[in-house]
Amino acid sequence: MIHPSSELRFISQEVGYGVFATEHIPRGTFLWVLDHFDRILTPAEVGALQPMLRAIVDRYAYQAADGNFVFCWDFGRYMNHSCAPTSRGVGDAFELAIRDIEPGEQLTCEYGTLNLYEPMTCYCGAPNCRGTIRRDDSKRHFKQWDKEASSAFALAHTVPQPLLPYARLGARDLPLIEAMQAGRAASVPSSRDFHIAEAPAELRVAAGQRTR
Amino acid sequence: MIHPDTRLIAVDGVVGSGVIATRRIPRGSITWVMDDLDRTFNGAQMNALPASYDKLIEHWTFHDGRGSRVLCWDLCRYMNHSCEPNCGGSEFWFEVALRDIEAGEQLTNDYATLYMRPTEDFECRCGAPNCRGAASHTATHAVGKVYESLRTALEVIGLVAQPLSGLLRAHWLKYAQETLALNLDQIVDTTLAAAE
Repeated sequence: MIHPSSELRFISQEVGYGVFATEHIPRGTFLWVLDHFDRILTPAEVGALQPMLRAIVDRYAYQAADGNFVFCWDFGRYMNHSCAPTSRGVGDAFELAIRDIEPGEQLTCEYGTLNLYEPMTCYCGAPNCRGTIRRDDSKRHFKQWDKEASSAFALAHTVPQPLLPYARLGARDLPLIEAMQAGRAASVPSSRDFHIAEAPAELRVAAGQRTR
Repeated sequence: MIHPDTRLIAVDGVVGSGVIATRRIPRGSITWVMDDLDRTFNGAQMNALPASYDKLIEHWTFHDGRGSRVLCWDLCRYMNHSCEPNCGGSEFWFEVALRDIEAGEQLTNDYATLYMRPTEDFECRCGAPNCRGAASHTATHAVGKVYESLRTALEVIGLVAQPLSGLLRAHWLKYAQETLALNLDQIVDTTLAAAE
């Protein structure tokens, strides 16, 4: 579920839609949580979809660390990638704001942890833009990403968390949330641990490029 | 999945959003088909959700008349009520245009056909000349009218372009045609009984 202080906007034919903040959102806020309405599909289920639906899942779903695909039911699926994103993935269920976000600013995340089928050309325009986003980018960049996630997570208990009641917590998330609610520090799982080496064989050939 | 010639618009502060046609959608066009990305929650699955989901369920899902609620993944869940609806048929797992829908016009359902519970009645501002003022599950006449329009609209389903036909299952269509042609009175009774 995407943060309630956000809205969907059409950007351009090339980029499509994006999600934009409608109010100030402080660093440490969960911008998105995995929830109980999001659809989780096994690779076999994705492979069995009718072509019209397969095209949608190829474009808008991501592959989680357990190998299943997550298709968000709401505008969360329109979050774009940036090489200088507003949030980092934390645990299995959260995108965490790593800086203050102002009204009108686009909410962006890092596709390098989402197990892309194919490399994606990036036009984010950030000074540190990598140009091409690859399935295994976390192997090269995890230190910086983890540092940003950890320092923002230390603030999570100090800011409103409107999405927390809706989160569908996995095994890796429970200790994080317990620590957060107790105001304790917690070590955030490394972004490296979300990488799956190979795309599922049955999906590789037909997969479309993610260009959302 | 909803008809591709549609988009989301902001209506106003009270109604919220709605779905309009981006070009003319002729009568008999399939405007929605239930698909494998839509989710169905039965009673046990709904009870297993945290209490924080009660409002989401009420706001975003519709009753299928068989004890479950359906959550559409796409714009379909933003379709508003009208007392003079231009779409109908959801209980057969697909909907068709009951009349020609012009570009810019909202796609609407009569919520009385969606097995509303008595607690879900609301004050209607649809603006149709025949507006009932209150959208209520007890609108027997309105439900019958939708099914009559649906029955005749299904007669021209083969005569118009159908971008969603790849998702429509033949036995759903057959079931709808048979049910509507043979049992129009009965289906109205069933709708109302399920809403009680």
